[in-house]
Amino acid sequence: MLDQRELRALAEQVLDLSAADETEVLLLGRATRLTRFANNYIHQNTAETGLQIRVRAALGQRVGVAATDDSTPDGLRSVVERAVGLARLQADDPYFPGLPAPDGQVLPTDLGYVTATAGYTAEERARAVAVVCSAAATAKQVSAGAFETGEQTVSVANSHGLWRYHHSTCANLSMVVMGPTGSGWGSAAASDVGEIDAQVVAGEAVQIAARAQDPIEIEPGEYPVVLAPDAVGDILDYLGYVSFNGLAVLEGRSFLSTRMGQQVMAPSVSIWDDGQDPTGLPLPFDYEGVSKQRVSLIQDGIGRGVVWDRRSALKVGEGHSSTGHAEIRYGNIGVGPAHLFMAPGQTAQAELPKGIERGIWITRFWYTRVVHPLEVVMTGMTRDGTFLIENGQITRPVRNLRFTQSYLKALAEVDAISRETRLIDGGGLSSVRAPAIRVRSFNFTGVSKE
Amino acid sequence: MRNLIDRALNLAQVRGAAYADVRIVGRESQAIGVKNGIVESISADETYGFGVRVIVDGAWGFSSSNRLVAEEVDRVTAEAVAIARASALVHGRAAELGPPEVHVGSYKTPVVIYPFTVAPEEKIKLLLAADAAMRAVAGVKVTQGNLVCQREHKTFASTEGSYLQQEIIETGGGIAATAVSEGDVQVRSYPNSFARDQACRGWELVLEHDLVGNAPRMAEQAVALLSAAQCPSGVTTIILDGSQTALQIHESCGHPIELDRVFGSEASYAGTSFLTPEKLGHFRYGSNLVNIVADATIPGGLGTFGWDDEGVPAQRTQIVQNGMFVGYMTSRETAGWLGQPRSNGAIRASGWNRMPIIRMTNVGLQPGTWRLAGMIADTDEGILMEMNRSWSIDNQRLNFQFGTEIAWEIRGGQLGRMLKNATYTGITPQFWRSVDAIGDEHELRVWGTPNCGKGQPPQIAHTGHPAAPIRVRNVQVGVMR
Repeated sequence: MLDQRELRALAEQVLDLSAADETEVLLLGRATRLTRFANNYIHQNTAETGLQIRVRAALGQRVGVAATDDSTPDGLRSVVERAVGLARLQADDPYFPGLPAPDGQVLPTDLGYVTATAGYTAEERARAVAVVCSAAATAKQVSAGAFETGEQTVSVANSHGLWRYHHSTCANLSMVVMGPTGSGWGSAAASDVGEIDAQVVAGEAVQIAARAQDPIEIEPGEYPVVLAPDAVGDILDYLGYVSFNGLAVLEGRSFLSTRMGQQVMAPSVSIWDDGQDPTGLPLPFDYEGVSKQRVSLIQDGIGRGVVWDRRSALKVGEGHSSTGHAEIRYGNIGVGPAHLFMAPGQTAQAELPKGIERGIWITRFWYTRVVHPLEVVMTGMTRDGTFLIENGQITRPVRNLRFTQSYLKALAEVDAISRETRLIDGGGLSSVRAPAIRVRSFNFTGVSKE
Repeated sequence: MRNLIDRALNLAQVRGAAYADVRIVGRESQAIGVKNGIVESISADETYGFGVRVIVDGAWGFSSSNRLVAEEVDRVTAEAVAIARASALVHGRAAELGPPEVHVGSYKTPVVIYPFTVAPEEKIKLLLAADAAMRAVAGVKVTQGNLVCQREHKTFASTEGSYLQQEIIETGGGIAATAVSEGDVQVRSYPNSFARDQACRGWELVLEHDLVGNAPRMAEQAVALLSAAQCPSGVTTIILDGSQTALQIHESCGHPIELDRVFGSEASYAGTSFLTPEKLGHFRYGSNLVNIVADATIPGGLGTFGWDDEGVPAQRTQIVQNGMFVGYMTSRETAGWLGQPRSNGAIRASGWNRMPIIRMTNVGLQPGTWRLAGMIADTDEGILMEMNRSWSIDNQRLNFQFGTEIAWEIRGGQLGRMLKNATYTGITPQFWRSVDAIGDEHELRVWGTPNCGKGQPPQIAHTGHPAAPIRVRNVQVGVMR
């Protein structure tokens, strides 16, 4: 991994090579290691070291982008030539806002960097995995999962003198533990690998798996549910992608296109995005170097905001500016939040089933997809711990269910939120911190069976 | 390059590897995106690097880097060996590859028009023309189009003596129109949804698709969908167009026949499979009409190559024969687990920085005897569904729910009113056992799926799917809330 000084020197070489009116270089460095296990042993074990160099060159309003991972002088010259060459072919883009100038904000360069995580070895990961496999085997169960540790650098420089650099680490242990007829789930993510206790995570998964054996089949239909944090994380992820996206609002694809400022969810629901909060997996600026703002998306159930990059903000016009959410590649569907948080409530997670006469506890969702974007109607399956709740208690496991449900309406039906939250690694330097929630009504449309 | 490959293979063996292979992969891609009459993105990306895979003490190790220079080759090889030794600390079934696979040769995707020789200006002109044709239709809110081309050069060498060089060329393109009204959003895509169709072909693929000629129809249908009737709920006969049949094959046949899933290797992420080994040769997967083949040798298929990423030659494998489940897609290691003498060559990595895993090649349906028009005329009551909009399936690949962009009612053998938000749901073997008509060779074409996710760390594979329209009886439709 190159350090800040070396990366800055590399960026300056690129900028010096460019004859474009404006030039930006984005440097994405990574050293990631992932140990994968299945059937209670390690079956795949990988390491990756890389540096991607992305150059955006502008000739007036004409923009070209090129990328390489060749950092030799010839490689740098070639990538600049390709970016400039493509810009020459372009027509004017009326929505290209130019590259940002430095905004004067001093941002942390190592928020979420932990030396122990960066230096975590394959042997250390193997020892943690051994704990998981042993716990599963002792319970006569079978584990499968992955333990990833790594470090990343994100650096942005441009011809207006902007320089941003950030160095972070991430550790993520996740697993499915399976008995003959049911499975459980455990996961933990943190910047500091020392915060991940394999014994605790495995214990949770083993316990869920033990309770999940011999599931009964229940009829699909409307049930009150408790959604554990991983399931809530999926809801927040999709709302971010489909609804909290400024361009989607502009184009009428988001429910917030017509309902900004209105009560759209239960008053207990508040959701925001904050790339500078160290309780997430922080990245304090976006991929064009703009400082990330804390953006209130839903406050007390009322639609309050969406996120923008500079191009989409220019499209919507006066009064809007980038919230610091530009992505690595310009995507024509717009940009979404990358560091989502949902406000915790007052109820202990274990107490959430209380008050439900007959309902369902869902550990997590699987293979969720948008059926209709405007109301965020989704379909997907439950997985790794679906249980019947009877008279306020989890009583027995049920077969996995398919749901077809508006996530928006689900969050309008929230009547309790846990005080505990869980950090979920979203991949690509994104994260969600979510509580568990109780929802008055959730629509199940099928059962998994042969 | 050969020196560095030999250096890695030698060092791996010196450090104790019983087996090692090296892949050097260089990929260049060009992508152009147009939206609402503006060229929003034009990019030319390159990536180049190498990965070393080893077996030490019966366990796997893999490491990779973007710097193909001697000292980095040494570091990465040593790291792969060290990782394998760490893997051996939590050991299970010893990694074994079965009989050696020793092949030397080269392969190049045959193309008529090399896509990188077509000037970017011509590509932009084509996309803008298609975009303008869509925007000419009143009521369309967003228009989009994209073209991609990719060239991957891959060198594979192993301690068994294989040395293979391949150049895989891909071309793809597509357009989409979005119409919006208060309370509704509808999209129509061509020739495939989620950006494009893609194939191991040249620019001729894009020309055949005639994006400009098809653009007005997409825009008109997107607008018409806003006022179309909602797809009713109930149990009925459905006819799927070829693109949706391709998706159905991909999700409910292609994934469950991946033998690594069957043996639990993907249990934590992609899932397992209902097609467990005792079913091989004994399980009725579909009706007698259903014949499915995995074939990595089909000209133009997006899953076509010369050798897989273990150096095993591309092959054709029967998966479903007259409705009976008869085959899996395998790697060298999993073929041995199943007691098969040899891999059928279905392991690939998404790039130099990933360890290969079993991926679909071209998994497709063999043609039947029907023309689509005849199928519709033969249907008293049902729904014709076209082009995927959403897809979800459980982790064993049994319970699925898919939605399509557009549908039409069928009554008395005639197409009736247009329907929107069409969905259907089912259980995989029940669904395929209910197929009573399959399109013939005139209706069949090879669809490309350039976005198949699997593995940890994640890998995106490109797969092909020969498919024709199918008719399926007694299907639950109209699941929407």
